[in-house]
Amino acid sequence: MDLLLLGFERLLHVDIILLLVAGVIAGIIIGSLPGLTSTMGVALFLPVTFGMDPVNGLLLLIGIYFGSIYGGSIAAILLNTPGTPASAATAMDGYPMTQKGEAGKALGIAVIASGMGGIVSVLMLTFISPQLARVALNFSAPEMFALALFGLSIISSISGKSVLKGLIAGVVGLIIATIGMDPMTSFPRFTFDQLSLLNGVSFIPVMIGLFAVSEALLGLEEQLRGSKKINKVIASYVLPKWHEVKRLISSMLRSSFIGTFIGIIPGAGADIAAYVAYNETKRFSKKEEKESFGNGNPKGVASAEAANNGVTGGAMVPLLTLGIPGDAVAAVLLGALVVQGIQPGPQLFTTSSDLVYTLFAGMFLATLLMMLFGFLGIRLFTKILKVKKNILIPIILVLSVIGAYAISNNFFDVYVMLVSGIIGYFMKKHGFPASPVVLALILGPMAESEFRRSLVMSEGAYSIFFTRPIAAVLIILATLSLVVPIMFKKRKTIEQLN
Amino acid sequence: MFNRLLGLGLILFSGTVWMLAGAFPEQNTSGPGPALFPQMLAVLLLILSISLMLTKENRHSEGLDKRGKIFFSLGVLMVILYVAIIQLIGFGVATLLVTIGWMWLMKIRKWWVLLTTSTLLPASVIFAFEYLLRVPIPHGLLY
Repeated sequence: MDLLLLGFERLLHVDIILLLVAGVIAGIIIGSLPGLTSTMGVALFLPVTFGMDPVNGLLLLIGIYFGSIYGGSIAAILLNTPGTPASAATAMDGYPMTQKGEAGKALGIAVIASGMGGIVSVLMLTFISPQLARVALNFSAPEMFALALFGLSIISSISGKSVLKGLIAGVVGLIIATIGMDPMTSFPRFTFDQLSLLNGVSFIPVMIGLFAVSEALLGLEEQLRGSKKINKVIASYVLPKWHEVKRLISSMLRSSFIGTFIGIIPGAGADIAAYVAYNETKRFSKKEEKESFGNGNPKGVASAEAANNGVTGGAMVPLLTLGIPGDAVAAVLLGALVVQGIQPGPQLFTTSSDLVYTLFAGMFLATLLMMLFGFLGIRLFTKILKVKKNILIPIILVLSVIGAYAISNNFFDVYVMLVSGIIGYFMKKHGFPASPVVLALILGPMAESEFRRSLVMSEGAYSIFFTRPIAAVLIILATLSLVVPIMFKKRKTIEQLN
Repeated sequence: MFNRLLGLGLILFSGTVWMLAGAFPEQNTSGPGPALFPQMLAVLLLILSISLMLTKENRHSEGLDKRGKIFFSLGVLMVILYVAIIQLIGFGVATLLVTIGWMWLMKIRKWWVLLTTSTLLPASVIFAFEYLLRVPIPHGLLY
């Protein structure tokens, strides 16, 4: 505790505070732009930190990281265009809230949930990181496969009206995820001798296409039909009231813990955490409330945001305690630490405890600053909705194109985004949900490689998935998560028929 | 009818995936090869596609009239052309053209709105991405 207080003391310098402020604001802007991910944001600013003092440089990057994870929710909520993959789950209820005229409330909930996720994860990082790292190290291939399967089982509950169509979308997404080099043998699969396909289909252009471009095409159609629905979105600045926030606290706390834990597991990031937490919140909700998920339930926004921000501190646990990055952003931060001559690992807490606790204190402050600027910005962000949709839609279209291009300066991604957008338009027209495709593209490669790695470990014995307790529990939960919503919907249909 | 047609298309797709995956080599070490996962998914898709074909449809979506369909196709064509010509003439000019085109399709007729939006949009994107964030944007013959 004393070390943490000393860390806070070291932060009390104008230059450090200004760097954190700059980092958080830059992060929020980067996160809100489609195609610019947190990883890209941190990587973009990495060279700027080379000449800085280690604490200053790292805090700038941490500010960007924390700010960008929240920033992703702004475009997801207001425009149904997730700024980062981590906020794809936020769009599921955030955008319907905007359509109901509750944009300010949705953004407010996103800020509070993001703050809680950040604070819980940093608290866990500060006080129990070595213990958490030990638990995470028990995750081997079978557990990782079970976790991916658990994530995929969410498809049945994010499918909207038709579980069958959701499952079809998910399986097609999983097939697309197998395009590219085989993770075990590097054999090119379904690449048709195209070099651009060797690395597979990146899920970010697909996500931009399915969410944003399809929305632009639907907007054009509405306009051509002469529908007045297009201008009905109300740019409200009504923040959530205390009694509304109180109802969300348990969901936010649970999701923060889920996010932190998933962040600790190497290879699982904020996107996976958001979907898992969303599903858990839905599972824990009352029977009559379950139906409102996907239609603007504030709990959906709160859980996704608390979880994806929970990952921020979680990803730091294996990074600082073991030198293993928890996700892609942590990998860039590992690079930043090494450049500064700091070797993360168990020794770090004894050799550079002052630096470690200053970073912890900086993370607290970054979370608080993110909340401050998040709240201050709500009025400004909601002004986007005051722009007429027939002006906003071409803007979304252009941002989608440049966002898809910016991922790797590759035009192939733009074509992928365009094709996904057109397919997404037809999917929406015929009641096929887009989220399962994105989820499958995120989790598919992980599920396949860990599944096959597990079978190599067990020399082909499928029993490996049931003899290891963590894997077995996750597989049972995945089965329940997949089957229960289907049974629930079937029972409801029978009740309606009766 | 739509469910049946789509189901049929998906069955053909799953069959193609199964056949293409069948040509993948076996893995030398223990454990399944690169074909296992795609083939498992192809079977799953086949089952789901058959279920889709047997599902009753309840579509009530409002369609566009003939003129609307022409304009909508024009909008899609504009986006495809936009993506195709960015590399040739550059992001700035291509964006200016597509913005004017789409806004016109979306019934904006005030010339000053068309002009300011179509100029400010590429200018602000270029400024934010290229100058502030140092993320390169595609340039062509006309910038």
